[in-house]
Amino acid sequence: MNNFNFKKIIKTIFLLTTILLLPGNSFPQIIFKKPLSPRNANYDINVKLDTKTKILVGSELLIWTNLSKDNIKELQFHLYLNAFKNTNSTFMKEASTGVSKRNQNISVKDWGWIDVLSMKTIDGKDLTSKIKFIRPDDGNKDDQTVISVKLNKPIKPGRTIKLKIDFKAKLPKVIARTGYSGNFYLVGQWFPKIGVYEFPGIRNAKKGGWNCHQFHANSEFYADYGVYNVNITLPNNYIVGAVGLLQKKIENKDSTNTFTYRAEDVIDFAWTASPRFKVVNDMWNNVSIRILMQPEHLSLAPRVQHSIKGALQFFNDNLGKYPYPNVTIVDPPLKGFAAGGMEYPTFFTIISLWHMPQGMKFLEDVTIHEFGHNYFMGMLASNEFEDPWLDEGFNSYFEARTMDSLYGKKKSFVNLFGYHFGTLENQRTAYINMRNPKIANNYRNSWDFTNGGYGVITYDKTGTWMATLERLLSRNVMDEIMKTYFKRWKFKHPGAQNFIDIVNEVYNKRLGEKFGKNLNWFFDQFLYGNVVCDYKVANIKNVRVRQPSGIYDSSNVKKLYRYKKTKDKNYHSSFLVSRLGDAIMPTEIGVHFSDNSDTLITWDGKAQNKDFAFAGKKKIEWVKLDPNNKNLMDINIINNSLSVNKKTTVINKYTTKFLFIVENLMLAFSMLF
Amino acid sequence: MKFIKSYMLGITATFKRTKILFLLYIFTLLFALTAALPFKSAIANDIDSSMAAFKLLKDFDYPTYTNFMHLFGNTIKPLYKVALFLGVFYTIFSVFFSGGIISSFVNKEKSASLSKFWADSWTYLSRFFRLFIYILILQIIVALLVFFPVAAIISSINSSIQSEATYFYIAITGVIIYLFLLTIIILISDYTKIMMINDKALRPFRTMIRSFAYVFRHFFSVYGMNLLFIISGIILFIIYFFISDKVGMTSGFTIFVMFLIQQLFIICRLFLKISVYGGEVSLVNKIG
Repeated sequence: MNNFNFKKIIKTIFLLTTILLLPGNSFPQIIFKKPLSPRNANYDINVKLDTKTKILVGSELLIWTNLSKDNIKELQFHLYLNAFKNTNSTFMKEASTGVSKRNQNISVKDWGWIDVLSMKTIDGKDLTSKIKFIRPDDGNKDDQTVISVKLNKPIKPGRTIKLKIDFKAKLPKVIARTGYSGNFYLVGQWFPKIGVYEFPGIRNAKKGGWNCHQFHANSEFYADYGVYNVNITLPNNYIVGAVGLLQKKIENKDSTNTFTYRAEDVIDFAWTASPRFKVVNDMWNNVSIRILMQPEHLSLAPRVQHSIKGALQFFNDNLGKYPYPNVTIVDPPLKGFAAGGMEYPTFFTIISLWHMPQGMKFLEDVTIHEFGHNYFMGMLASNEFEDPWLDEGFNSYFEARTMDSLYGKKKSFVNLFGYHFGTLENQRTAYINMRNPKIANNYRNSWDFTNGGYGVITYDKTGTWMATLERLLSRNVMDEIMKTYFKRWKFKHPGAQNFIDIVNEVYNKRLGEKFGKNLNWFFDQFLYGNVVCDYKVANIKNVRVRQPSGIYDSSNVKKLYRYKKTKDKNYHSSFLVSRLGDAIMPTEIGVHFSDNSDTLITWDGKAQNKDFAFAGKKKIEWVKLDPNNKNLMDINIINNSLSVNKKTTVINKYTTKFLFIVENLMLAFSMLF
Repeated sequence: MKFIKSYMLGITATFKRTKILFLLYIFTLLFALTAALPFKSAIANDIDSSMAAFKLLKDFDYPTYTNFMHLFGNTIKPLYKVALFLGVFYTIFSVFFSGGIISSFVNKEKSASLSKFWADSWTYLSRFFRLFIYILILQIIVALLVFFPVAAIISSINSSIQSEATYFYIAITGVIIYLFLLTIIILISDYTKIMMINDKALRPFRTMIRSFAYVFRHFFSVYGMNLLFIISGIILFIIYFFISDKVGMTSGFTIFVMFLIQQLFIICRLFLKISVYGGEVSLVNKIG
């Protein structure tokens, strides 16, 4: 090595070190050495929040890669905040006319909107004039939540386009999980966001095309993976949390701070800010936990810490590794309640109330549920518009498993004054107690629940049939299904058939054809169909078998049989099971006999009415359908069992209680005068 | 202190009025049974011979309970309304009997005569019923007088409130003030009745005004004794919850035992109710 080169090397090292150490000029910290996802939708965003006007002024550099084999001539973007622009947006119409029962009666107290000020290619070609609003779902002319941009030249397969987009957005008063309340901000769905270009291989796409739906009152989101580098500037008294990792914080001369966040292999970017947050930091293995609590809720932080650690452990053990280095949990204030219970990758909001009793585990439940979305939707990026059950339903199933595992099957949701129930129990009862469980099937667009039922069908019914599937196949087989699903589809866009294929594959591998050639019948009924399951033990009969007596013809001779008294008693016992619903489920039947013996019968559950008969010295005492509680889809628990002896103990218990309550009520009234 | 002596006298005097006590208990039980028996019949019919309900015997089972209410709630829910109606009806009934109870104390009868008790109850029914109406109106007025300022305070500072704790403290202050005022109204009602019997007064409204003055003139004694009775009631509830927690209702035998304990508790509550009148009559006699 000669002297000149040595000097040059020293100079280069010095220069690089200086650049790296200079504030504002540092390179972003790489989170994953190897990308976890295709990273085809990447954003560099600079945004400034004016806390007086609630206006965001931003510019984004979108770097988007065409992963399809098509030449793409048009781009489509979501402008979600325009859902809150006026009463005629599709979101607000669905909310006000009751199409969405979920957000029914929602009202905007302060409108929000987003304008694209300019859109240019990186080489300076202006596309702004080519922007037009489109309404792919309902043709509503007043809806401005989706734009289309015709390109001057198509993007070829595998090629990348870089667009510089300037935008201005006004945040609404907190509504549907975005906006502001006082000095609390949850900034979600806030920047022009490119849709997903689907092509064969993604879900059920037969040919290439944009999947970019309008913002509906029931719907959530769908996006491609990417890397986000976001600079957020706002007044310096604000504490900020966001998707991804904080890279740096710069204190500006104008009493503002700029926070730089980087997130890799995520499908969205949201952030929060408030001067009131109390920050609680914790660790689980190598994952740093940051909880931004309202000061009045600070005493609840240990509960959040316990549940988030429990969730991290449970999901890691039973589904797959949580790959991100951190998670941020945001606790909105009472008046920002509508921002609660919303999920983004590595970042989610909870719902808490001042001094919420320990016995009410809603705080833990929402923490676990929203964390679970890091998997169902975060890493398994299903289409939340079209397959809401695939994220919310699967997540509900895992939420119940986690909750029941952490806090007990019968007490994980509520445990107050002897009144208690578990999370799975809560989900199941929500479904089986529906006024009309046939109101809709699972498999439909989120905005197509026009007669209601979105919440219960999507969350609770899916959670319940997933738990039923688990009981049918066994926990081990179900775990293998879910782990395979995660392993095979993480950082991709899975659809219904992708999951069903895995179920059938694992089922055949582990259980052969125990319940038929495949399990399509299960999904045909409970996912695609809206059948209702209701089996009933219709009757029990114990008929004493009499000895033959009287005259019988035998070989042309009349023979008289006389009745002989005997101590032996033989019975012809039987019971009838009826299928009242239209669903068919293999069912176990427990039978208890007078000699204290039991038998377990397996029935295919197909016949409308089925008799089961026994002969012998014992009588049937009681019959229980599904004694091991495997089929959680049965909508009538009461008719699933029958006893020959009408026992009045329970009736007496509740009559006694009722009598006592009425007496006390009367005395309480009379005390007032 | 006089109010403690009166409290004790109220209790001891009630022991001498067991006939009235049991008469009241029988009526209370009969009233409650008019709702409880149809309730029993309804759930017996709905549960039929299902074994699902057994899950509710040893412990509470949410899916069974909610599914039962979902399927058969329509046969049971009307009985809740019946129970509420009974509460209202029983209140008028107790207004009727209060004349008999207070008279037996005012007249210092050594042991209660049921025929005299009935006669006195009838005698004061009309006046006590008018008093009941006045007290009802007074309670509504006081409720509004507390509610509107609380609502006004919340409304005026709503925009600056950041925590639900603030709402809670304002609301709980309102509730405490209302409950305090309610106890005073109940005392005014009681002492009005005593004054009407003592003075053979015919105009409940005027007597109520006098009673109002009386309660505030002797507030320490009147409210002190009232607090003793409230504490006695709370202790009674604590004892009941302790016992019921220990006994449980998980078998035919324990259900029967709990039934007896519950009825004993109701008798004790009625005993306290009579004792309150006894104590108040005694206090009036002592302090004038």
